[in-house]
Amino acid sequence: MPIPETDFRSIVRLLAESGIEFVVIGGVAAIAHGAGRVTYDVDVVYRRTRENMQRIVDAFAPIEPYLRGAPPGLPFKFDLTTLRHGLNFTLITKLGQVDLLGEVAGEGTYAALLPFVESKEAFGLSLPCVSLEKLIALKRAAGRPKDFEPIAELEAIRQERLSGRADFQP
Amino acid sequence: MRNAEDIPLLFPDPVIEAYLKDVDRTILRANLQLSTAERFEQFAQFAHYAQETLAIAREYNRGRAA
Repeated sequence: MPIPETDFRSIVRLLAESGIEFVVIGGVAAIAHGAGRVTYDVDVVYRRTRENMQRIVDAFAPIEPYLRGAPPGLPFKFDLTTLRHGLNFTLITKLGQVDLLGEVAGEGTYAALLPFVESKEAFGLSLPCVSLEKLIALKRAAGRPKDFEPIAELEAIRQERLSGRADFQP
Repeated sequence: MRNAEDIPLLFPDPVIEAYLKDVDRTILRANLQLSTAERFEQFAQFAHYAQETLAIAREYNRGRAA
């Protein structure tokens, strides 16, 4: 399956307007906080209630989710049963790459992340993003060498924010 | 106003401190002067450009392999 360009604007709109309960983590949350990196997917932690998972299934059906990196033609069906039996899904869709995560390292369930959510404006919508400090904690908990550079960048953003410059935006 | 680089890390770590030396703070400071909405608009434009470039590179490599 060819990799479609990730349409961040449309994915954000789909998530925000479908009533799905989710928190944005990863590269997109880093962008919200001021990071200068490029990312190619949208990572979200979703609430694992039956109602919310049904909303995800309904909202994602038109964009034909499939397992990213899996060989074509597998009998993969993105329905409530699949979501209930799985936890973390790395998906390729008609809108690009989306990671739907039921839980991430570092106490990263939806409920555990809720106290650390900050609403950020993106593409004319309000996007629930994890706070800068929690994002650093999650990336550290993931324990991946590829995150060393992004963690350093996020720590630098935190330092810059704490320096007290008046011209920085929230 | 404090010197940002003197502020202790959230999680002090010599590995991250080593990487921190190479972080381009000029870009970060410019981003932090933007609103969140502006950061996303800027990112979307750059991501589009980066993904188009990757697609061209993939097509080129496919052509060379054929």
